[in-house]
Amino acid sequence: MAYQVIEARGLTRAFNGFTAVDSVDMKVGEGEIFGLLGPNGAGKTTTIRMLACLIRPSRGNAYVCGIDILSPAGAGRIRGMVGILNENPGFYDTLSAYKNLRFYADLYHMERHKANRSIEHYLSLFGLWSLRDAPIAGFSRGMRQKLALARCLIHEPRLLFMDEPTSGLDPESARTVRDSIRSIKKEGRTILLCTHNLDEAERLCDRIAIMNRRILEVGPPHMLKRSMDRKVIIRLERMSDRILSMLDGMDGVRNVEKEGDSLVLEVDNPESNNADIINSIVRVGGRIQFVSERGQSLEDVYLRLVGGRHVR
Amino acid sequence: MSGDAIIIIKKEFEEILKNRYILLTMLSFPLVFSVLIPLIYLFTLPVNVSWADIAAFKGLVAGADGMTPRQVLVAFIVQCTLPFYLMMPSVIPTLISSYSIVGEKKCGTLEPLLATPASTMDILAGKALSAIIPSVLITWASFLLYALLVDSITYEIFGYPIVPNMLWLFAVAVTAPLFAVMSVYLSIVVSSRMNDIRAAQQVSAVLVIPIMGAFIMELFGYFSLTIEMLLALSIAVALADVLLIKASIRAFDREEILTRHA
Repeated sequence: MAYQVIEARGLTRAFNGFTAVDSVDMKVGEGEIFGLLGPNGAGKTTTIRMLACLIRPSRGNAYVCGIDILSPAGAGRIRGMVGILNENPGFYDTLSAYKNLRFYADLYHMERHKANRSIEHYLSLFGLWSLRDAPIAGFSRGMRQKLALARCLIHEPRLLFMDEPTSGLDPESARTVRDSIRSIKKEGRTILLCTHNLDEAERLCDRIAIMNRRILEVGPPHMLKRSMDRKVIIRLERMSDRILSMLDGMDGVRNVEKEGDSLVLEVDNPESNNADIINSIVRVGGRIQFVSERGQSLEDVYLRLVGGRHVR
Repeated sequence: MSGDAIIIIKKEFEEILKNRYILLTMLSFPLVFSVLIPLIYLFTLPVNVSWADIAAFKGLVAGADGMTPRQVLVAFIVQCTLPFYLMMPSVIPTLISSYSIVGEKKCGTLEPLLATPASTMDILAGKALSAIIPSVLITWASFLLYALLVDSITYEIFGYPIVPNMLWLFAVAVTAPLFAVMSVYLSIVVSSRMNDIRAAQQVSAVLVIPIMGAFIMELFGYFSLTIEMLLALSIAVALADVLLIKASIRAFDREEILTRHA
């Protein structure tokens, strides 16, 4: 079994009686990009803060990089092993990009030559090396986001928490950030990515958890899309009432609709039922041209889960 | 104090040196209290002073019996300026510490700082010392400048330097740093719960008003500061410092700052 970088059990956080995060169970394996997808106020940032030992859970527990987040000595160790990219990253505006990164490298207790090499590497990677001595005050939003990414990477963390990493960025900067996230994954690091950008989550994440204060569904993006409202489309040479009435009472077929010469079927388990359905159609004289699947988009899945199952 | 606190102090100093508002305000103190006030003495001191002129405050100046009326007047005026050197270390730290905590919240730098392995105690010590050290150094430098100017102006009247004496040395070396500590930790407690720099800076008023009151009462001859009074005041401030340090440790909690006030 792959090493679990994050293992949370019943993680809960309440603020003055309001439960912001409710009984979150989560396992994130080494080298995985795990997405937390949810609307504003879904508890994504609170979950990150608990896992990064910035706030304590009201209930439940988690192990991050094998360390108990509740152990008093563990918090500092965990913070040293993880990197956090906030949604609105702030910097000391009067100081230069280099001095800002140097400050954090020092707080992560990096050796001087290692820190210098790492800062140079990441500033160069994000195209900021030539601006290393310029005060941050003059940096654009995109430059700040790249610098924030450099800040959370300089100490070579095993686990990265990224909260809306491309929020408010122009398409080019967003692409640079996404490419960087892919490169980080290739280095074998684990990323917990919070976003409400469905396209980004689908493109980047190995697995996605849709949450709205509690985890509603977890899985790889393609499985999530297939997990609900899958329809089997069977295009026939010619539609006949005989085929329709035969399918109507068939085991495993929940609903049958007709779209021209195509059948749109809601099937309990397409993987095991499809062969029987096709055999039955052929047996009653149907001539099948194509069989295909009509899945849901991630957006459909998300909206259905988040819109339909608000946690109270 | 570990190396993390020193890293934070170094960064804070770099920021202070680049903040024109804090720098100008800090430098205005020596300019007003150490240069302007002695120059006013120089140009306004009356040449002829009688015992009748100084009858109201003669009893407030130590060793007045062996002095001339003019000497008593000068000694009284010099003595009355002492509260300014308690005010200076009370005001300057709030300028720095309000920026260093509320400013960090405003700029979004507090969360990345809290996300580092640095302990709360180190962050707190770094923030506090980066406000205390410059405040105390400026107070001492101002006092040095003040003593030099006052002594050069009053040497022809006394024939010897009148500042520093034991009262001044005790005030500047002991009481002033204790006031700086009180001001910083009070500011940290308040700043941890506020998101507005100007509101956090109002804290200094809490300390400045009683000090200014003491200055006015002394000027009107109601009392005169003595070593004993300063000693009692220093003990009271030191006790307040201990309580405020404890309160600030409670207030400057990662969780509190991130969930309640950020």
